Amino acid sequence: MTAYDLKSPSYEVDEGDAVEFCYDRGWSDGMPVVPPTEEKVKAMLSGAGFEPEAQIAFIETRQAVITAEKAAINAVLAGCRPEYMPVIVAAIKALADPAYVYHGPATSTGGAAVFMLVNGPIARDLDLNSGDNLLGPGWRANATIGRAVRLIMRNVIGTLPGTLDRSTIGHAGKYTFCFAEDEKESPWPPLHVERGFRPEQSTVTVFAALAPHQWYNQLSNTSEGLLATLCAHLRFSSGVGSQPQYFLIFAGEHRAILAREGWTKEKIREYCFANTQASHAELKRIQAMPGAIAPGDETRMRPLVVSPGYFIIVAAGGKAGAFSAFVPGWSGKRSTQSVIKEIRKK
Amino acid sequence: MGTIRVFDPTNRNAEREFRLAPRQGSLRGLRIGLVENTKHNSSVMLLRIAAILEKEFEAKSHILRSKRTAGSPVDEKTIEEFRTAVDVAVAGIGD
Repeated sequence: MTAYDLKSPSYEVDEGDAVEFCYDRGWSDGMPVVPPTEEKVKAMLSGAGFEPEAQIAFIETRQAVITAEKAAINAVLAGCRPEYMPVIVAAIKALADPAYVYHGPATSTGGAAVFMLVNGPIARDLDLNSGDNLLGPGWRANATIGRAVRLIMRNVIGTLPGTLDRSTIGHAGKYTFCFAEDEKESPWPPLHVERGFRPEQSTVTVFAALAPHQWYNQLSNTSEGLLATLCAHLRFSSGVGSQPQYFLIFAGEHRAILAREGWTKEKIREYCFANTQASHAELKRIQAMPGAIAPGDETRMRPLVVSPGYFIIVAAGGKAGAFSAFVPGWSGKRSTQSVIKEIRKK
Repeated sequence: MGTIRVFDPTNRNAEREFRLAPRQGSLRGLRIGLVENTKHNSSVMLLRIAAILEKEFEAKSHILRSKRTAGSPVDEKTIEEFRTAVDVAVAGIGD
């Protein structure tokens, strides 16, 4: 065991009662946790190569310091393996980035989750799922990395449901919302390469996300046919009015059609930007825009997003099935932005 | 089954204490600073509050400044301005 001491308070409990003890202390998200013993916490710290007191991030609006030790304890609670720690550390750094504006999405009644997309070789090394049942259960890394980040928000930053997490509805992604891009089977450059990283670098992108919306098109075998369906779902989706970023996740069958016809990410973005605009009159009729309908409102158009680049395209999901998904962002461009950070192994 | 030692995952013992600014006994002749959070009607509501404070509680004047977004802290420039330009500030607003 490593020579340093952990600084956090500790409690001696009967081994058989340890999970209930963690519940009683309010440390859980509602599901059972792994009791954080010294041995497990130190193994977790060694996974990231940090000393316990190393500061990972500082959340200004909560005046909260997140140390490596606290991150590691929560990663143990979540059920992580030590090699997951570098992803968790990078995600926490991203949450503390001023562009993410932690306080808004963490606290808002809007109920945002922390969507985490992992790119690069670490995704394969950790067996992060990028395929079948993408946003469902079944993969330890997907399940526990996202859970660890949420537990850090709860236990270290104080983002507790009912107090500083005032989500009216929330969604299941608030337990965990972590997956990888299917870089191997993708016809497009992966997101981290689009954002200036090299393919061999690993990154995590965090995004304040509303619930995912699955859409279906088994009728069309053309790109325009598919995207017409997607745009119909997008036009009055959850983010309408606030012009957030949107993640567009294309699964295998839809991706194959787009690839066959040579549709690039840029072309898809341009198409979606042009075909998701709504008139001011439509938006006013559905109460997504304030005010009475004025002359010219029937032809005055408002884009769903501020620019085509606000559609962030990802290749992921199973190969079988005519389904894809989009994920609306929480609030608009001044309130939060997706943030990408490099994952640094020790 | 024996005992194990488990470590506290919370920051509760490390939280900082905040001191509230001294409260004013009266608003008479004082300058009011208002911080609106950019949400719909935030400024409307705060200006109504300022009008009440001036009319019914004899506050002297008010200024209104905006945050960058509802989730952002008040920027340093506004804090510096408020240090000298106002005597009391209304910085919270319900949603």
